[in-house]
Parts: sequence; structure tokens; C-alpha cells
Amino acid sequence: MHITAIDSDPLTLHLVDAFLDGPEHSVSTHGSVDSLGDDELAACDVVMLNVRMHGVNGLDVLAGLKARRPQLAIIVLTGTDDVRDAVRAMRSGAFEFLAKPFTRPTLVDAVDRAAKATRDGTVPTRTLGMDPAATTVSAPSVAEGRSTTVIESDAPVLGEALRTRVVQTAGSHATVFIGGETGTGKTTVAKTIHAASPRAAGPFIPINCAAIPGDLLHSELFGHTRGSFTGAVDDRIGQFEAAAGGTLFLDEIGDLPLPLQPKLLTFLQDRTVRPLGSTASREVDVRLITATHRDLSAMCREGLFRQDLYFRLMVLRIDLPALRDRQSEFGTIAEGVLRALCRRHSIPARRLDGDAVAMLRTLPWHGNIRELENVLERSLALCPREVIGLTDVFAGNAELDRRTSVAIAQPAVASEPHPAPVAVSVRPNDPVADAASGGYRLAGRTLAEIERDAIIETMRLTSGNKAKAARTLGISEKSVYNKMKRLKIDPSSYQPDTASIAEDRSTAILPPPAPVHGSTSVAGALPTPAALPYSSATPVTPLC
Amino acid sequence: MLMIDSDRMRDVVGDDKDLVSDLACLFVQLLPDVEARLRVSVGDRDGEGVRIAAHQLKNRLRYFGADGLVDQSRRIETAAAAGTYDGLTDEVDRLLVDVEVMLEELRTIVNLPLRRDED
Repeated sequence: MHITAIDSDPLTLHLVDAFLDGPEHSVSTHGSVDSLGDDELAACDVVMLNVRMHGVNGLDVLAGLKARRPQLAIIVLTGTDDVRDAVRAMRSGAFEFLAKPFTRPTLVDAVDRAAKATRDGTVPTRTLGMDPAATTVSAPSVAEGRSTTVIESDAPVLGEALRTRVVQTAGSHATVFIGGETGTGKTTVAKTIHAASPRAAGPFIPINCAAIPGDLLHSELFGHTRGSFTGAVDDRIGQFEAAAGGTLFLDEIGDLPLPLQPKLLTFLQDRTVRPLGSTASREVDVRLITATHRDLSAMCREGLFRQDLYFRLMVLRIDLPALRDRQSEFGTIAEGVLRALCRRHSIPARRLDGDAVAMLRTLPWHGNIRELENVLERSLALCPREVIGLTDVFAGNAELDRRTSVAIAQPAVASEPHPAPVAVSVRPNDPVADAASGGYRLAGRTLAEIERDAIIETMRLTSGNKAKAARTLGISEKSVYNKMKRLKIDPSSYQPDTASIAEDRSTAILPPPAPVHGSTSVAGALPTPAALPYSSATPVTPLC
Repeated sequence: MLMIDSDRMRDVVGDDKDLVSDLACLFVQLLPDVEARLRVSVGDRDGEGVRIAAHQLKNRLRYFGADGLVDQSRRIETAAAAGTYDGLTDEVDRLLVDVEVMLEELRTIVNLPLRRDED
């Protein structure tokens, strides 16, 4: 195989040439990309490229080479200490990243794998300038249909974008890092990647690094020999070897003790493990997936996590969004979770009604999908009907009540571009809450009822002037007329002082950024579930 | 304290003495250029020039297990990138003196020729 090395540093070029001195490798070296001709580029199996060359933007060079020959595996060399540079290069379609100084086995291994990828046509293809999070990996070895089926049935929490990403990731053997807040589904994604991968027939072994004391973790992961420590009465293989042929999932990788990090680095570089007390390293074929809710790059800056290990872990990265940032997918996710729960409990399929979904969507979900799953599981247990309503969701969910109150005080829809007044209902038939709010409850009512009250309130404020009411409501005068007819509102009998809006109901509304005190009127708010009527002579009190 | 951690160097380069010798010769051959660029750039308060030269030197020192010098180079590289020139001249002087000490150590390991400017 032919390897082309491009680096402005003669020492690096000399070392590459010396390390790849076997008969199976031929190396040509270049001090810059300018001397690399089309013929050589077309003929080589691997390019090794320094992304930090004097006077050259290596990422641009990388993009240029990828444009000239997309299916060529390019190994990025760097001596940079900037994590972002390396990660950016990997996400820009580099096949592998090698930090200087690299060792002979590491280099040979990387070059051989890269050459194989070029030959097999399994090289990552990417275009610079795209969203860095959108790394794509060709997955010709994965039957598309099979992967999709696995993902559809086993991971309903994945949206379309994530599903595509997972399918692509599954086809590669590269190390995967999954980031995201607690409860976003990192373990589910890891399992799904394994299940959709060519390693699906092998074991999937999850290990929570935070759950095992540091002094035991070494033995747990890498194994030990008899007599290596007190209590080591037999040789024992570690989880790396137990996962041979499959996938090892190291959850909470941010909790991996610093002294153990070089051992993991060694595995990632050489694909070998050395049990505690042993002098011999053993090769092991395992795909590694890691995950954490922590900010590993910040940990690197604070010296709590090794940068070289960080680079190695970030080959393929999937960041799972928080549930509160998936508003548009919320209904689908909730239904998917419910379906999965019904399957788990072997009960007929249930569904959520629209009000319940609308209400749940407004909550902040700090526990993300895991919290949603808990809420729905409780609802499922308490509701015997096919359709789960709002009352069923709140029944027995004291925590949800508290969350609702929190949502009233702190609307969670931070990502909404134009924050409209956010009305948040309280639990239906809660006399204490109703009395405390002195207002008007939204949840548990039909949209028709709410729309009717919105129109009545607006008509009262506009003294029965339909044109004015139409402007306030943001609809045409004809629509006001039609709605009043449909909702059986009689304009002739309407009197501002006699109009009464459901005095026996309570509601709370938080019109951000308006203060919570003082009277807030429905007038001006569209009659939508997100901006619902409120009428109260008393100041609004958050229902905490 | 030794500048070169020979175990670290062996980890990187292996036990091939010829290769170490070749690398060391190359290092010595290239040193005057990077040294000159460091001195001129720091005198001109040319942050980018200092950064590039320090970066090159840092990566070359890594092959010899000279971690202390790698750290010194990195500090200079970072300071230059940030445009912090206070004490940078002294830092560069210290680094280059220490590199000379390292070369002496290297000579005890491999047959290292004198630098061209020492001929």
C-alpha cells in the first residue's frame, strides 16, 4: 500500500517513513500539499496530513483533498493542544486522528485500517462548513432495512434526525461518544447502535463507571491475575474481554478515575488490555461506546480528564438534546414511550389525549425522557381506559404537581423565539389551587370552551364591538361572527358588566415577561392552548 | 534533574538507536532556524511568529521525552497566541538554554554531531 505523508516538520516525516518501513508499506513525504500531484493522490491508499502547518489552514487542505478524492482515508496528524481543532478535523471527514508523538504500533494500526477503509469504500464522507454535529459515516455494511427496524421498535424516543445518525454510526466500528443530560436516552442509543451494528450477535456490556469504586474498576474492566491483590483467588477476565466481538458501553465516562485513564487510552491506541498483575497484553476486538452528562472538554481544561483520551473518545459523537428542546417532537416521543411501556407490561395499546400532551409539553422535564417515562408509567397503572386524559396523568403524580407549579413560576420554553403568555393549568378539581389563584383554569377543558370564553372576554372588553374584538383576537370580523354563531354566543344579549367568565374556575397565567402580579386579560391573546384566557380581580399567585 | 525521560523516549521511538540518532541529528540541524525565528519574533513582538516557532519546537521535543521543555514551549506558545509579551523574552531565553542542556544529555545517549554553529 502507498502512504502519502504531508507535514511541514521533517522530524515527523522522518518518523513516519521509519515506522512504515515494512515491505507492505511504501511512503512518500511532502513538506506541503503543493507538491502533491493528482497522479499520486489518485494512486495512494492513505494520506497523512498535519492540520497545523505553517501558513496553511490544514482543515482547508483536508477539505480540498476530500473534494479531489472523497473516498480516500485521510489520517490527521496534529501536535495541537486545542481539543477543538482535533475534534473539528475528525468531524470534517478525517478517518483517524493521531496526536504527536505517536508510536509505531499506533501508526501502523491506523494506516492499515485507513488503507482497508479506502479499499472497502467505507471512508467517512463530509463537507467542511457544515454543522460540525452532523458527522456522517457511510454504513454500507449495515442493511438499511434491518437497522431501521431495530431502531423503530426499540428506541421510539429517537426522532428522525437521531435515528438517521444512529443508523450511520452503527455501520462503523469507530468509537462513539454520546453526550446529553441525564435521562435523555444515552443508554438506549448505545444499545440501539449495538443492535443495528454488524456486532449485534456479540455481547453488549454496559458498565457505569460512577457505580463502581475506583479501586475495583481497574479489575472490573481489565481483569486480574491470581494473587494480584488480596482476594484475587483466581484469574479473571475483565469486561473488555467479556465484550469481545461485541460492544462495551462505558456510561459516566467522566467519572473514570484519572489513574485509569491511561489504561483506556492504551486500549484505544493498541486494542490491547493488560489484566492487573499480568505482564502480558492481550488483543481484544471490542467496539467502545462511552457516554456522560458531564462536559468533558471543561474537565480537560481543569485537568480532570486527559486530553489525549478525550480526542480518542470523540471519533463519532452524538449529542442527545434535552426533552424541553424537542417541543415539536414531544407528542411523538410521548406516544412512543407509551407504546413501549404497554409492550413492556403486556397490555393493550393506550394513547394520550390532546389536552394531556399539550399540558405535558409545557413542563421543563429536568429528568428528560426518563422522567416522562416514569410519569406515563404511573398514569398507565392508574388509568384503565384506552385514552389517558389529563386527570389520569396528574393522578398519583405529586411530583408532576410540583413541576407544574415550577413551570408556572419558570416557564421552560426557553427556546421559544417569541414568548407568548404561557398559561399553565393546575390539577383539575383542586379547590385549594382554584381558591388560591382566584382565577380561571385551562386544563381539563375543551378548546371550544376556552375559545368561547376568550371571545366573550374580548367582546366584553370591546363593549360588543365585533370589529375591535376581531382585531384584538387577530382574526377577521367574519370569523368572529362565525365563531360566535358556532359557539352559541349571542351578541345582542351580551352586556359588558353582566358577562361572567366561569367564576367557579381557577387559572393561572404567566405572561412573560410581564410580572405575575396584577390583572391579566385574555384580550390580545390568541385563543390557542398556549395563550389562554384569564380573568381575575385578584393578583395572580404562582401555585406553588 | 534530567531533561530527557529516556523511558518516555523509548515509548515513542522504540529501541531503535539509529532512529533516535537520526531524529536527534535532524533536530540539531533544524534547531538554529527555529531558535532564530523565536528570538527575532519575540524581539519584534510578533506573536504569531513566536507561536509558530514555539509550536514546532514543542512537537520536536516530544519525540525525546523532554516533557518539561514541552511544557515550557507550550507556555510560550499560549502566551504568544494571547498576545502576552510580559516576560516572554526571558521565557524564550530559559527555554533555549534548557534545550542546550537537553542536547548534552542526548549526546550521552546517541552519537550526536556538534551543531553547525558550534563547528
